[in-house]
Amino acid sequence: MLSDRLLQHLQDVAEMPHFDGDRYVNLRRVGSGGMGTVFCADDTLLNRKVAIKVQAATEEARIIAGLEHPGIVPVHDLGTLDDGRIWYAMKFVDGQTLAQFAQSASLPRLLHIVRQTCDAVAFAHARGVVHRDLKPQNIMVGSFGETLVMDWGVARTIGEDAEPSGTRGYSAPEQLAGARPDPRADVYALGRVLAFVLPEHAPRALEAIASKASAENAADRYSDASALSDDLARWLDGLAVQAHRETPIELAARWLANNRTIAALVGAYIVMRIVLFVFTRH
Amino acid sequence: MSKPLLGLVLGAILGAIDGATAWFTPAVRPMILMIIISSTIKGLITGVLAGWIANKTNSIAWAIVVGVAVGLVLSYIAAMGSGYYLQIMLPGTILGAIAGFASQRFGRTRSATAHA
Repeated sequence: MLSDRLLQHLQDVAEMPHFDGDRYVNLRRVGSGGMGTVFCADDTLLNRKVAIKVQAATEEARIIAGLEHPGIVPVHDLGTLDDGRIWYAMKFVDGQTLAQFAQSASLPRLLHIVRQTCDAVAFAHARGVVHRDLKPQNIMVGSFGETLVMDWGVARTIGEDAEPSGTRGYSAPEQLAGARPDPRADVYALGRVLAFVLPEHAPRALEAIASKASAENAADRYSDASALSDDLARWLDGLAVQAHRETPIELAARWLANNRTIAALVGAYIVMRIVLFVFTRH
Repeated sequence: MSKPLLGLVLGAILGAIDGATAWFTPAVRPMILMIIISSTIKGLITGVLAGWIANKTNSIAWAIVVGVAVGLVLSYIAAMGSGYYLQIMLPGTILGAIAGFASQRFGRTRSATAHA
């Protein structure tokens, strides 16, 4: 009887792609999912590491190739294996997923990464593409601090017919129910990603942004990923956000936080005036 | 608003308010108008100098230092012979710091035009 380990090994060998020629060598499996398997390999022609994804269709490669953006991993090469499977080579990103990175990064840094993700996704939306599987595991933070949106395996064109797909907890309810691809489904996922990176006792304005983005009803969400990014930018700049109506106390606290020096100087002047008045009135 | 102009306006307003607080000192109340006018002029000069330095250096620290120094010197001159050194110099110094900081923080740098 074959052991589980041996079975796994046989499966790995069977999945391992065999390329004509010797351009891609030293293949190591680095991940797999429902839409294909990803290998790391050495590109001997250009002397660099690449990630090679092997899957059943060319759709994903063509979608990514049409999205030239600093936040979207570029495709280098595309081909078909002898067994009919499709493969494409893309930039190998040496870094951490947002899920890993979030354990040690500061809140402003994480918000900056969410904003960069929003910008990349907004770019895709502008070209008619909806990612449909945004989650911390599909957002990479590279070794230079760059943010890259990965795994466009279930991405579809806005409005086309699409099967229900995504990740429970991150994908919008209407998407899981099989609705046609809509940018606001990605806005929902971005809101869930934002909620993931927020600490337990996050500022109320940030919680409001995450709640608005991931509202159950699509009409209640931000109209697009750029609007979500802009609201996060407003919070980072110390401004009021669209998602949250401030109380007068919150408004005063925000003003004081943004103007500590001038508040301290004016406070010092008032205290000094009171002290002088009390001690010199006689 | 440019930094020198903001310093001028802010210095004048803060100087006028500071001068008006003399009303709480009954001994000098009869001279309140003169005090407000001189305090306004003092604040105006402090503010415009702090704003001018802020425009030159783009340094918050330097703008505050100049505001404090000018406020201190002008307050000393204003206090000479009055006997109210503490009551005049201490607020004058703090208002100088406020005018210096605010002109640097909230004022707009006047851009220089380069000619080839």
